[in-house]
Amino acid sequence: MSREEEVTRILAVGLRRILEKSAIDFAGMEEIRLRVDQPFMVVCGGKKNFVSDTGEFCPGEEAHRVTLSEIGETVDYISSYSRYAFEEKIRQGFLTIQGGHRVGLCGRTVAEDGRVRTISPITFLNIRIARQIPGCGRRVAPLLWERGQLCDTLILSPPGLGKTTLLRDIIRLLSDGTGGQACMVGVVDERSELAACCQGIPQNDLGSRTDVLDGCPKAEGMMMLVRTMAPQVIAVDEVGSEEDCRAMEYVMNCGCRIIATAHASSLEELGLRPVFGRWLSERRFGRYVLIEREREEIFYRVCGKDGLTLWRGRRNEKC
Amino acid sequence: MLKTAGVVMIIAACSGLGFRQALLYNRRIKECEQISRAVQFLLGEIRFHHLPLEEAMGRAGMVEKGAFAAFLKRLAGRLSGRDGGRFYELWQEELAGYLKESLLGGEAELLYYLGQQLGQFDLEAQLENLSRFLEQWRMQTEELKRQEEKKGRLYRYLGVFAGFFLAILLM
Repeated sequence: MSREEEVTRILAVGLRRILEKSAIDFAGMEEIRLRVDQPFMVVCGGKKNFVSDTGEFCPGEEAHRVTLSEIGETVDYISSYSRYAFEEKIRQGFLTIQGGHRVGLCGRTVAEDGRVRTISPITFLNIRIARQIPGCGRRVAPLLWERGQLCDTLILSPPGLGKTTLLRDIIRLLSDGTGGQACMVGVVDERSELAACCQGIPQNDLGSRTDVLDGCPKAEGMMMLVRTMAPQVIAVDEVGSEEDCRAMEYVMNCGCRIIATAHASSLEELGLRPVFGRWLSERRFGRYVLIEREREEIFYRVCGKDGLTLWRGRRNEKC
Repeated sequence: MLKTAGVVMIIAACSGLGFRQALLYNRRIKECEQISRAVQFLLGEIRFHHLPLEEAMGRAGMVEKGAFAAFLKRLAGRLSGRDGGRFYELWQEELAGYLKESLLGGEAELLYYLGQQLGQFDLEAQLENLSRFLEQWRMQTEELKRQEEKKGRLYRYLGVFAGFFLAILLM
């Protein structure tokens, strides 16, 4: 199944027909946004476009209005008609579909004892199209080594700039030993975005020395990997909670290297967060990779433990 | 000689009808038991693996036997096709097709009701609905067994005696 099919097959039939009619280049599509009674929107190359019934980009007032029933149908497809099977994910506000594409969910939350129990009805969807860019980390990966040792690394960027894409490629490069020594990599793929496992089988290439814990909570997964799979490197996506930080500290003190991603647009911003701020001052991470967007182009900046830039370069998608 | 052969044929035909009627009951009970096993499997897959309906039904359809398992497999195929329609609409359509070939009577209502409940709400409610269905289905099957015991015997005797009665009447 192609990437396009993976995404379009989860859309309501009406929306699918619109995209089928359109000449929109799927390769450039980053997001599809559905909001009840609002225009049908696709994001391509950072630009937000409204789509008409005939599948053309148009002003908001001429665009196709997404109905509640279309969102309901889409949610049925995303959840395979079985919301019970994705209870926990819905509670967290996202689902991952085949191919590792993440669908963000919003609507009326039902809370119980101060915690979100579910979202019902779901009235807003953001389908983020995941893509592999093989080789995008080729220039970054060798810089993560210092005196023959891999450094603990944190990849930072605001949402939507490709942290997961870069992490995925770095995992593959480390695992295959491209540009350095080959490592045993353990991946905790809580949101199934890195490996995009289908029935436990990775659909994305994560290299030949990679073990994947799919759908597992990050903190628990890191501990499990250390105890059971003897990894040299553990990779996790989007860390942030105190529990995640405790588990990362444990991993770093066990002789394993860690490569993780987090939301932050700069090291200063990262420093404002409680645990990360402390780690930053303690120089806990040997490398920071910042992803920046400049005039619709993506740049990678690799910084050392002191925050000084070691290298900055354009993401070369055709590496 | 010809007369005797005719008499034997009449008795045999009437007895056959009676036995056939009794056998239908037996088959209906077997079908109910197959459905029960398939739903039990579905319940297990959902409880243990938290599988979505499409996968759980596909697996149940592969593992279990009979027309109901084939129905689940067909439905799983339609669900994975994602070609429009809500779950209950697809369930109703496929169930109608299955019931054309089935021996089920009034108990089919329970299957329609089950379709209304599946895929809704949370895991707990899902498991509760399936367990409730299985309990109701078990009671229906028990009732059928009781009926089979009574009516099955009645059909068989009735067939044989009707055969004798007709034979005597025609002689």
